Amino acid sequence: MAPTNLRPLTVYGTYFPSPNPPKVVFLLKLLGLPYNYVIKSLKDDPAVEDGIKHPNFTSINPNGRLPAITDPNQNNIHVWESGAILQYLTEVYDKDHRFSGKNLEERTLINEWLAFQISGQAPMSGQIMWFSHPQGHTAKYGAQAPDHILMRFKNEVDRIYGVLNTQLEKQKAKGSGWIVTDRMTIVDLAWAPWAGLMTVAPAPHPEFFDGFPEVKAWLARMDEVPAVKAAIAELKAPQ
Amino acid sequence: MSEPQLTLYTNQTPNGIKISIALSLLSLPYKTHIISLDKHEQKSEWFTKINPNGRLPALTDHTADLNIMESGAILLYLASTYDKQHKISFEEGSKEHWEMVQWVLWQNAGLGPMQGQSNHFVRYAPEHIQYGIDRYINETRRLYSVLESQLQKQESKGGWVVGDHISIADITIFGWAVFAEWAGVELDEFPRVRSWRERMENIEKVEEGRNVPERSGLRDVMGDKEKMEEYAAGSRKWILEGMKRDAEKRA
Repeated sequence: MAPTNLRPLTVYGTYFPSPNPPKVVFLLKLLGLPYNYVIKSLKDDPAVEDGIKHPNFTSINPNGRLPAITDPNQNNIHVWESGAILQYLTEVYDKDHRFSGKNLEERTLINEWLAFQISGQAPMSGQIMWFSHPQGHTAKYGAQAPDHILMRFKNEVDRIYGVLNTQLEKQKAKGSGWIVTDRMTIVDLAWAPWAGLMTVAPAPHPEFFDGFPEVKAWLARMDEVPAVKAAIAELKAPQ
Repeated sequence: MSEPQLTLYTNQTPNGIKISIALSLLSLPYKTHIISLDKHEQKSEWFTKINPNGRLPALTDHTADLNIMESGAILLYLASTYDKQHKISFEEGSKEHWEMVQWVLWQNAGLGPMQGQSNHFVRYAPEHIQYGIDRYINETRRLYSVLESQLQKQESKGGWVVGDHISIADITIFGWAVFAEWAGVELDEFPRVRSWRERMENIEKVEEGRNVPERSGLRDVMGDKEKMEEYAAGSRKWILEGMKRDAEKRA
């Protein structure tokens, strides 16, 4: 149960499908916490007042990236890096450990797969998308990226989803449909938005997960979670 | 507390030395199991049972019967399990604790992957791809400039990444900072990062942990272009072979 009389947290983010801010909104909705979502401009110019490099935002997140949060219920603490925000929110507001670890073993498992998401899945997917998406490298430089670059990141992304698929197979054998433990945790919330991006044509292609059937089934399960559905609908840019 | 029984699976890599440095600062006894990267031992069946991702480092805590992968998760585990006196961490739930977690994850998500790509395009790629080199060197430089600003803010507290003493935030960044020049990034433009690195290097226990499993051969060739190239050629062979194996596995 979410505590009442909480003041709304501020979440700094941008529109879907930018993959890191939704992780935080999924969790806020699952925990029933109030929040205000502030759309920031992605412009790199520090003079842009609502931009992520303007001093009034880098004073919140020195790295100038999204998401970040401010929590008025905890002395206006600023937390940035999506993985740290998920850990923070569960530590403070998930006392029943519905989405976080109940004991040392579960907490460690969650930290491992969260770290793997932020250091592996996210940066490597980010690279393949930039290099293979027509609006990425090709649009900016007027030519396709060299084969070695494409091969390097495609290999790495394939390898990572192979590892995830094997993990989900092991979990299935134990009767769980989630990446770690017997329930959906912040690990699933962190992996899902980046995985979802892989199926959005044209980057890299809609059938991407045919080779990773357990990942495909897990992603379909995630898409059916009401909080996930609601968050995605909420974060879409107005037409 | 009973004597911890820890095994560290490692080699002389940026992520590996983070853990041996933390263990050294905590004065924890542990066994070192060297994983031969040139023989692709990190992909072997026995090791992927310990780390399903097939990467270094990994840590086994025999007392808890736990295998832990990902350097960030290992550092957080060591801090919460074996650092009750907060030698390299801060009280859980404190403002400093959360700042520390953010900087650890900043390193895991940003500096590590981007400097790692610089390494690849500067040192190991089979062909010279200027675009790849520039993209990753520039992003790595951006990240060091973020660290430079943070260290400036922290000057009055002693110049550590977070709070008023060394923590796993310093350790995790240091693991990569000692290899900055290898990735084609000179620290001359980041004077605070450079002096912070020197300060870290002068801590005896940091030095001790950094030299696990042995002193890096790179330390003797850094700055000498020819010798650096020779050194890269040795690693290039197994790195490209590993990429080929990964590709074949799925074909």
